[in-house]
Amino acid sequence: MEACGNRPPATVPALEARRLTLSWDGGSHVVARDVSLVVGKGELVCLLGRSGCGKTTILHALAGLSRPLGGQVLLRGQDVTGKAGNVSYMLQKDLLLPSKRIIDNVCLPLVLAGVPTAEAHERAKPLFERFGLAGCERLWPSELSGGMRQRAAFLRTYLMGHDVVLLDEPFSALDALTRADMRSWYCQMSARLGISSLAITHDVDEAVMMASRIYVLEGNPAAGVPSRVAAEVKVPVAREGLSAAEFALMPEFLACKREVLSHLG
Amino acid sequence: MPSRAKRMLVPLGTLLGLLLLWQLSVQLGLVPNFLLPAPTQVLAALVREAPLLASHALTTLVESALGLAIGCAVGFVAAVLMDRFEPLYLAFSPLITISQTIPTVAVAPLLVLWFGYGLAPKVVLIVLTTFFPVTVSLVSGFRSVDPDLLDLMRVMRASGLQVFWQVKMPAAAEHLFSGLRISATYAIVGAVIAEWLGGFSGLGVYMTRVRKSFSYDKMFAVIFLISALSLALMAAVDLLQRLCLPWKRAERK
Repeated sequence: MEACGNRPPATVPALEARRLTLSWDGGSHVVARDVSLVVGKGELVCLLGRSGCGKTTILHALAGLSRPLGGQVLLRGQDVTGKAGNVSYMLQKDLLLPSKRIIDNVCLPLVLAGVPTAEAHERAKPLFERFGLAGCERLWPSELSGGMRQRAAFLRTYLMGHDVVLLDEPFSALDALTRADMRSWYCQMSARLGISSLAITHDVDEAVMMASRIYVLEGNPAAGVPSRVAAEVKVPVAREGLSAAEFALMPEFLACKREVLSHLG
Repeated sequence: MPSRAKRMLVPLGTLLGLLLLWQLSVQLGLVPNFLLPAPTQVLAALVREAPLLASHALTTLVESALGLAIGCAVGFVAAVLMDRFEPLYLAFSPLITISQTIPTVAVAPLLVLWFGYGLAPKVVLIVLTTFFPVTVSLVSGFRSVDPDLLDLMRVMRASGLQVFWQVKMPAAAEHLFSGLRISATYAIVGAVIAEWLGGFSGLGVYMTRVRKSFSYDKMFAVIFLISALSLALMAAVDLLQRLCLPWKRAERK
């Protein structure tokens, strides 16, 4: 189990949010105001905030599932505000369809795009090994453990075919040991595949462990205080080649964690 | 959790015990035989009347099958429309519930009056009673789909039709089958009630005839037959469910 390597942001951001202002269900209640963030190509960035601060609402807007009250979402410089289907999206729940075998579940994005089932299967099969799912092709989702189901959900996300992936607390439904495994597995996998990721989380350790940069959200929209980006924290580079456990005990890790916590208030 | 054998044997034993009690109470003269035939007498009547019962049962089964098929089709269309168009759901869901509080025996004579003594009033009555469980179970099945899953489908650019067949229909299928089980029993009972109130053949017609001639053994024979037919139809629905929802077997393991 290895801690994630840092990847420096490239010049053209894979994903950018410019001064997003968002409301719940398109109403007048403002959840987040002037949220700006950048995800570089191949970078893994975390958006950290307390429960109920509007993280999921922001991710929804970035995925194009809702229209912001104001601001823009740019994908490689192109305006995709309010347009769904340009980035891959992964939720806390695996959302596998119980009525489909694993192979058909992971092939769903291809089949929906009009790829014939046989061809979709051929394209997905070689990936099962790489995603740690070898031998699971013909099983039903209910026959898999939580970690394996999440791997299948990752494979489905990958087959959506976009190199920008939005993650909504993708590990929080797993038990602690599986979570740590899956976390480092995801970091290696996304690095190898050249995927740019934005993950939202409320877990400070997870953010410091995974991300190269962390945006800290602050606010309490339920009490009428819209969330805003309070700080952008860079995670020290020194974790290359360290195990997650070793990294978690290093002074750099603790210093970074302390900084993030200070911004959370 | 009791074993499979236990779950089969205990109710079967109870049934046999009750039949034995019934047999003894008639044979010992605790109940006058002209009021209550013994199970053996019922069985004898069933065998004796088999050819006649078979022809009446055929009529009832045809009516039930036809009514159930139309009822399911109507129920399916109603459910899809109510799911697709929220105003239709708001407008009709209370009305559909109210329609089910109207007693069948009150509607059946009207249907006979309007549609005559043939097949039509029976089929209409069955459609009226069977579409309700199908509609209600399907609508609740459609609504049981996780909104996050619908978002995920949007991210994958799924069309409305794709969402329906890939997500909504499989999610509703399980609900549908529990509704269909109820509908299947309603179908047989509905046919018998409609025949009872007017017709030329069918188990309900047979019932009115044997009742008028005070042949209680035949009366019980036909009751047993109707139960058996309902059970067989429910078993057929269960079989269909196992074939259509293969993933449910994996979930139970």
